[in-house]
Amino acid sequence: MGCVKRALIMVSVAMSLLVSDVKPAKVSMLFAATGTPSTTSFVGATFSPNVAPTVRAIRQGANVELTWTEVSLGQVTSNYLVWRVDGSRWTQICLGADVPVLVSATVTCRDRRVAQGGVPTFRYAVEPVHLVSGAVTWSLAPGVPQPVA
Amino acid sequence: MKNGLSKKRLMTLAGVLAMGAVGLGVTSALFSDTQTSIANTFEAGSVEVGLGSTSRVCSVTDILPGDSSANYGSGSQSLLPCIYDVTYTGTSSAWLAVDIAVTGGPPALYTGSDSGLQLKLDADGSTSFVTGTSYTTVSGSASNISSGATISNLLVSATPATQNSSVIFNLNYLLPTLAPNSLQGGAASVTLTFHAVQSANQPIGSCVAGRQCNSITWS
Repeated sequence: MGCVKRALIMVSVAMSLLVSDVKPAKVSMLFAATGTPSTTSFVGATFSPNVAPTVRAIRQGANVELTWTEVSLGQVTSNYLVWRVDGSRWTQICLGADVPVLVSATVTCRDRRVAQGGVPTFRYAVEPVHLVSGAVTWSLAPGVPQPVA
Repeated sequence: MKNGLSKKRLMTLAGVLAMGAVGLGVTSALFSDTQTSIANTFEAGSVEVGLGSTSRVCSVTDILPGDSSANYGSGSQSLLPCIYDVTYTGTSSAWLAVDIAVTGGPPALYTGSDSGLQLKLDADGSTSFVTGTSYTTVSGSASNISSGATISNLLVSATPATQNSSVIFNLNYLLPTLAPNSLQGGAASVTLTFHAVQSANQPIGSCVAGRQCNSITWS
């Protein structure tokens, strides 16, 4: 009688151990696959240099010749807004036929007939910009206005 | 006494089993024939997704306000679109889906607004997944994709893909002229993940191509 009881206990212990060890397998029942190609990347352009150049203004007869070093924007050349500064009044110049011209990394333009009475007291500044259909999108802050030499 | 009875019953049972065993070994006296069928084989289908040779994963630099890729529909349309030629090579028919994650910065060129990088993702030029900065939810409403988020399970087609079928995913982009000065030098990355799951025993339910589909078990 004792032997049967002991055997029964052993069998029940073995069964309980077996059951406790059975866990749900972490295997998906569906066939699935994933592919991730390289990431596409985008980088915005930057002005180089990232500070507006200083204008050199020189009186030549009745005109003032303006020169400054080129600024690039990414792989393209920047456009420029050129300003004549008279006190607090900023007037855009170098328009139409007088638009700035780039020659060997130097940009030039001319402010006509402003020096007829001698060296003007105006100052000049340039603002590198990116234009889309005539509208300014990105720009650098204009440089510090410079006097005529 | 009880013990004795049990022993008797056990003996009887053993006897019956022994007789049965002996009976199995007795040769039948009936005419008979046996045919062995060709072995049945069970081969699991497979699901694979690969990139084809016409893929062009982009690395676009020096992007300016107004710049866009050829098929964006506005902007300069002067840059090359990014193309992912995805070939499904599995043997079992499968549902295909694409996940999209947009990250970037600093500063982040993709802002999730009208003034940051805009994206258009479509399959074969027809099914659209992303327009501007939004995708289509399960219910069909447009929802914004925020930078750093992953949008999962955009269903490619309501028809399961079969072996060697390919889908061309086009990623077009635009940096609008509204992009502020603060986005100069900004960066953005777009990661697409293509995935497939067996279509057998997986009804599509109410899922619609181009929209997020969460009623299918994708993995």
